[in-house]
Amino acid sequence: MLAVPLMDVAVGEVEALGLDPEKFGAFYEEALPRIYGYFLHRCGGSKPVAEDLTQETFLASVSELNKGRRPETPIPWIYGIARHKLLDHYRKQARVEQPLADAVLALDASVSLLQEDGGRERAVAALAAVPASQRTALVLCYLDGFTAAEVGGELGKSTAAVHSLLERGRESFKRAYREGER
Amino acid sequence: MSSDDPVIRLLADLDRPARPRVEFRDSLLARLLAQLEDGMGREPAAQASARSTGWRARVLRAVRRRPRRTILAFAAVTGAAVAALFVSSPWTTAPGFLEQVNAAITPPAGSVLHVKLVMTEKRSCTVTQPPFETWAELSPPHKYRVIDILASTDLCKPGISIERGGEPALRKALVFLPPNTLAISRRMYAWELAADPDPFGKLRQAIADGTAHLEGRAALDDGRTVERVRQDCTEEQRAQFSPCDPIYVYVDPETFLPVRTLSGPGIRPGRGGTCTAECYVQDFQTYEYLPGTPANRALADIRAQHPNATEAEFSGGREADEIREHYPDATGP
Repeated sequence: MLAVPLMDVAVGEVEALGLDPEKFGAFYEEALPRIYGYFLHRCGGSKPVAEDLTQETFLASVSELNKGRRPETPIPWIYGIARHKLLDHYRKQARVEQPLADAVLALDASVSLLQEDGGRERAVAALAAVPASQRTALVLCYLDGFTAAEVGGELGKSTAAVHSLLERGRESFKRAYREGER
Repeated sequence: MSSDDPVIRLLADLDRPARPRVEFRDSLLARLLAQLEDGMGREPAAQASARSTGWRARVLRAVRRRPRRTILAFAAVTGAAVAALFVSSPWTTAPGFLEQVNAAITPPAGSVLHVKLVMTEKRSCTVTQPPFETWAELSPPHKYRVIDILASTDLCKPGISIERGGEPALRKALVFLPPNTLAISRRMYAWELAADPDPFGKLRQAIADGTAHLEGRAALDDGRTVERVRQDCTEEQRAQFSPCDPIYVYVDPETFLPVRTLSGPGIRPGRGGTCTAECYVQDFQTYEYLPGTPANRALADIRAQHPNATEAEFSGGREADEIREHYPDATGP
């Protein structure tokens, strides 16, 4: 609590967002690192991509505000916009990328991924190497906390298909992560 | 899928904030504010809110002036001659000295932390704020009381002193409004929890994990000879704030207590640690651990300090505006 600035906008209790520029400035300060980090870690650690998507997200948010939208919970609201931008980005990638080879390394079930050095950076790179459809399922389920059924609804796939994507995605992620140490 | 799955744990560990480039942050905000201005033309209430001239620049400055949500936001600088003149530069890790610093800033169990400091900020103008003082229980229920600074809307003018305090478990903060009201602020609650009551908690951590380095002797601008310690960013801070700026801590060689910190994005690293742009200095007048006696604990209890005050909600407007109405000419509560 020492020397914490006395603010008129709190972190977890941001009031309804409108066109007041000072409130928007406080909201921006709070939301920017979250949204930028959201994209940075889901897009292979690419700062240019994270910046582009962050910019698109905030521009879309202001466009909504200018149309009269007044979100009462601005942080979850802008996360929702960011998620759609991310899915659009993944869809564009899916159209152009080549799927990874199907050969799956025989992984030891007891593989201890978490104890290795530089784990976070390698995890970011490994996630980026996972095919887009599988990556989408991994991100929505394991980072964003959606259920397989909800992800299926978002992607237009059955729950079973999402489980299949998750299973293959985990294997792809493990393979890419292990390759990252070579 | 079990949370013991290493893939899931690795992925979950990726979900954390990150600080973008300052240039990106500022240019995007400027663009957003310009678009917001278009919308304001159609909404009278927003027009009224932004009626004062230069609002866009004011918001940009407000975001720029808070490089991170820690003690940095309030600190200070003494001018272009800034902080300290490096006298010698034997870069060394000197664990013995740092261990003594660590011992000096490690609180005894059950004590009450008492800190008083003066903060100066240097941007295009140099502003010395009124003294900041806090008492904080370092054991449950962790009550705290702060003579805080409510920042001026003009960054080139000092803020005003106000008194606030609380108890984290009660999920509210109390702001003393003269003559005899304790206004309940729930907006500040989240800030309280996020903050560390001890300004040197991170220095202790830096000493423990090897990211604090003794750089050598320095002379402060008031003539005192001190030891300069560079506190580098931890891995976690780098992940969250990239680029992450070091903090320079000036330590009294006799008491091993920090007497000044220098921080901010405008510091040119290396010899002298000179301030080239936006910098902050905190001069510590008091840093002590008081025994946890009832009398000392009462110092951390805003209710005990105002036993006859009435608790009341804010009226619903901007809390800062309402507080200012109660401290119209104040330099202290």
